[in-house]
Amino acid sequence: MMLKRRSIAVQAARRLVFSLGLFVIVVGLSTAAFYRTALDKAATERANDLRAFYVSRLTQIERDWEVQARDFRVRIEYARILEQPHTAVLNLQAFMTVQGSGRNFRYLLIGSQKGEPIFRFGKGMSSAGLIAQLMEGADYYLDAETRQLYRVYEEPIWLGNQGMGRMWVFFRIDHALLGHLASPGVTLSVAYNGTPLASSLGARGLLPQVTMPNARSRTLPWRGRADDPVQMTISAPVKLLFSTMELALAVSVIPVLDGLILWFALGTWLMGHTRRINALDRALRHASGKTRDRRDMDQNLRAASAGHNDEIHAVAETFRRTTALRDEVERRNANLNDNLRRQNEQLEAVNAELESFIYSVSHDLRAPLRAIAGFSTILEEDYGKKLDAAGKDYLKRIETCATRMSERMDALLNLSLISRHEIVCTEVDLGRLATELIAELRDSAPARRIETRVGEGLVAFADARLLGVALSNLLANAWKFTAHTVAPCVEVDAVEQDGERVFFVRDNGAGFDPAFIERMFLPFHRLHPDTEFEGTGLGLAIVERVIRRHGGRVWAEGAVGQGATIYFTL
Amino acid sequence: MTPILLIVDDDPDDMAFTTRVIGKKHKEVRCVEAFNGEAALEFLANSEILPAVVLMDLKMPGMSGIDVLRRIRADKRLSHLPVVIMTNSMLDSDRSKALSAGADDFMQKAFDLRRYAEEIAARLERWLAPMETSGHPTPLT
Repeated sequence: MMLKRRSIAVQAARRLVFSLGLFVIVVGLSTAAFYRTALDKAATERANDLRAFYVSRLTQIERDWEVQARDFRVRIEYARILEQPHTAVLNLQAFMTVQGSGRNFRYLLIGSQKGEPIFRFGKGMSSAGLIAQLMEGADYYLDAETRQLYRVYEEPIWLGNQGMGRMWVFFRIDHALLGHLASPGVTLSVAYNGTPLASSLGARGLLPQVTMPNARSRTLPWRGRADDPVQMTISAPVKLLFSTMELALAVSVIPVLDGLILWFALGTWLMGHTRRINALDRALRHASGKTRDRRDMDQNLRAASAGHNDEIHAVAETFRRTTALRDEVERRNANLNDNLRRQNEQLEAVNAELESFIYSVSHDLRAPLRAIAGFSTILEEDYGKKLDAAGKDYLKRIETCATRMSERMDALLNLSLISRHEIVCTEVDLGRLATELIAELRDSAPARRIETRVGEGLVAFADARLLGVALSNLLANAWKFTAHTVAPCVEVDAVEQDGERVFFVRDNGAGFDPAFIERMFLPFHRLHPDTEFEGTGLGLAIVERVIRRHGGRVWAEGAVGQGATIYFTL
Repeated sequence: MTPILLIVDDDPDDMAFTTRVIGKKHKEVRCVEAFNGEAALEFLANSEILPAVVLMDLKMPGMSGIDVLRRIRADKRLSHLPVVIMTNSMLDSDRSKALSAGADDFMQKAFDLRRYAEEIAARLERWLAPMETSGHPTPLT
């Protein structure tokens, strides 16, 4: 299956987006948990700060109340309440009405040293057993009927001339007081020995369901002592302790920021590698392309590997080495080709020389020879009558020799022409060729009776002209060497030998001595004297050269008086 | 009028053979001998009567037969002259070289003088005939 091509950059981007999402979720959650703890701690700290603040507020209230209580004592002492009770009471009433308003002052009680009530101010409090209770030195008083809690200050006072008495001043700790004391959003509530009695939210704040779920609470003793029966609880919701922005930052921004940094760093790193891989790809493409720009390729390879030592660098290095090797091989090839070309040129020069040599052999040597033969003829024609038989014979010999030399030169020329002939191979019907040549031979010597046999389907892939020359020489030889044979027979056919087609020309003529078989195919090497069989000594040399030029082999079989067979492959 | 044959050949032996075989068979023609190309051209330029046929050797010192042939073909007055190129060489390439240069006929000088006489006779018969018929025969092969 063909995979869709997708850039590493795209793949990396997808993974990055995915991993960023996952990262934000995982790290976000864990960070949120972490920040929750941190937030909790911070909230506790802020709640503690709040507590400290209320401690100071309470201290202030306590001091105010204390100051007021002392003030009352001074007044009462001055009013000589026992000496002129009526006036004193009026004065006090007027004073207290002014002083006590809004300060939660509710009640004032004066008793003798022995605990008898002498004077009281304020209403709504049952005094049964009150003094006895106060004599024990209580700081608070809880009115059992109204369930009102009071802070009580005791002051020793002089009662005219009657000596020492005691004064108790009551300040009420109620909803209104807490309501004034509380900052916005903060709920204060007061409990006496664990029982809630007042709240800044009023009676509503005493109900359990009003308690805020997401809030921090701190409890502090009213007078700052741990064993204080009155405890004030400060409750503040977290959203009050922190701003919305602070919360959002704390919960989400930091992990997201972390993720982005990680993402950016990873992305940059990946993109860098992708760029290097792309450079490598370009370099490879340059190398395999038709137009190979060496400089461009090197530049890309450098871009892929510079400053790194990793897998990409290794691939680039290997590729660089391979390319260098290939260039070297190509350079050597080019050199080799150059050498070959030079040798070819030299060969052509030699060939040209050879050609001119052959031309001069063909022309310049032939001309005087022809003159010898020609003048012999003229001599015979014009002065034949003046010569005796011996003279005529010598003249005839001169002519014959000249003619023979001319024939040998022609054969030599043919031999060299065969070497230089350009081979063009086609399908050649060897049988038909042989039949035609045999017909020519019969025409040239009509008196001879020779039996011939040509095989069928003798088709070869060869140069028609050269093969004709070779076959012509072979048949001419057969014709010649059967001259003295009774019932001469010449055969042209082919046999299969080791999967190869082997053609042969066979005769039953004079044959040859196998001892000279090696030298048969050499130029001018003759196995028979001219007196027996005439010849140039080049026939088989020409045959051998034709066969060799076809890449074939030629060999002979025979014995003296038993004919000869010349085999050849193409 | 006696027709003239211009024979151009640097080899005096060949020249002797040629004039001999022509003189024996064609008593009616007159042979003009030129032993090099320059002499042949000089004769052609100055002679009032042009030769009926030019028999010219291919390989000569100085101007070769081909060079002379080109000059003849380039000259308006001479361009129609029948020219037979002869050679001692056995190379086939000479034939095409001569014919492509504008030769009317080509012959290899036969080694045997009697055969040479026959070949010359055949050429002359062929190229002297147009004198009467004014036809243009094809070259012998």
